[in-house]
Amino acid sequence: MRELEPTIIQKAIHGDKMAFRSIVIHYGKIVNNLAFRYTSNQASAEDISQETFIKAFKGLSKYKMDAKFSTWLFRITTNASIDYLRKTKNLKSTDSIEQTNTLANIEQPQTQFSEQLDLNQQIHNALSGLTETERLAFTMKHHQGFSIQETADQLKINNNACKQTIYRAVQKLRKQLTPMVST
Amino acid sequence: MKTFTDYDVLMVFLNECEDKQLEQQILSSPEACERLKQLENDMNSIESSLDTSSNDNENNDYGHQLWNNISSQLETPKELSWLDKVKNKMLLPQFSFVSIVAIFVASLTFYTLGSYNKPTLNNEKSNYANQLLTQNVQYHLTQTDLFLTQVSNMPEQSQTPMMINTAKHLLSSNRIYKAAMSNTDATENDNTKINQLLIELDQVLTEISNSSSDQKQNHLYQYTHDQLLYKVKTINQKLKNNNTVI
Repeated sequence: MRELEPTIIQKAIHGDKMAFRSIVIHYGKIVNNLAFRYTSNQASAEDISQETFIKAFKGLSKYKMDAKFSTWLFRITTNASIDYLRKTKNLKSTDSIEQTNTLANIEQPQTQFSEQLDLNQQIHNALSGLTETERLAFTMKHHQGFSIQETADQLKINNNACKQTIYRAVQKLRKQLTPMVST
Repeated sequence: MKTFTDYDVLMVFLNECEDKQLEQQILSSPEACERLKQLENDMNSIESSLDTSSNDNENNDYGHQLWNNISSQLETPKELSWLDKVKNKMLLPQFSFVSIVAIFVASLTFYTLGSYNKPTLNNEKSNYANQLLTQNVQYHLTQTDLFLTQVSNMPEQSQTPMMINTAKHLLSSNRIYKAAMSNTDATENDNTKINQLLIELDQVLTEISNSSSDQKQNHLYQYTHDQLLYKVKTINQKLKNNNTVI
């Protein structure tokens, strides 16, 4: 991924809104994609993206330019996603695979038979088939490169539980996606 | 042959296996390596399919839409402290610490070379040249002093061609020293005085060298020679005292 010019980020740090606009335009979609991976829900990803950039704007003074700006932004996205899922967890009483799958089916009624699903739908279902914790742990570890320790700390679980969570996520994804992508 | 669980293989793949002995056994087992390879392929497939999914959802105007949604909610962040500004500035490539150190070292090198070589040499040369000039001016003033004393003590009508020749010789020397002194540091008080004296001497010596042996000394010479002689003696004495080389 191409990083934005440091001078633009520098201007944004000094309160230049137009420079921050460039940041939003440049990183907006990538942040949204990451949020979608965490939530498997486009509406939630939209909310998290907005929250991420608002938090980023407020916290720009804390950004140290010795780290990549995208790394800093993705950290905010990860935290915003965890916070968002924690908040919405109160609305959903359980985090079971069965319920998530049911919700996915209700949202997409036209995709009743697996053989008719296109690639995107299968991926959507595969992600939806993971619990929120599994999705977060898998994405943080595999996609964002967090260590098990960091992931466990962020999710407030112990290391072994974190490893087991990632293991379950990988098994589910392999089962659902590997035959499909190999064809 | 020991069999390894998928969990163990995954932990090795993720580089999170705490049991190093087990990790070594997995890595040395052909069957486990085959499973690791398969796992890697599967993970790459999953990753690429998730990427494809993300790209399919891509909307080029998404950034603009997002900006429109959030721009009204953004409040200008508080101004950074000067220390943070400097820190951030230093982290930019063009102002990085390394650049500043490099500039500092280069400046120090130039300064050191400058102060130890060229300026010192020039200063020394300049000092020696000034000393030499002052010494010569002092000799010139001694000669002029003797000459003017001699002229002032002579009867009016007794100027000889030899004296006129001496005046011409002194005049040419005087003009050389006058030109040389004009290039010296005029801010020094002594140099200004010497310059002024040489200008006055120039006028008097010109008159003497242009006068014929039977001609009366003119008004200017009559009027100034006493004061001038005094000035010559005073400055000559001062130069003698100051000139340590002599």
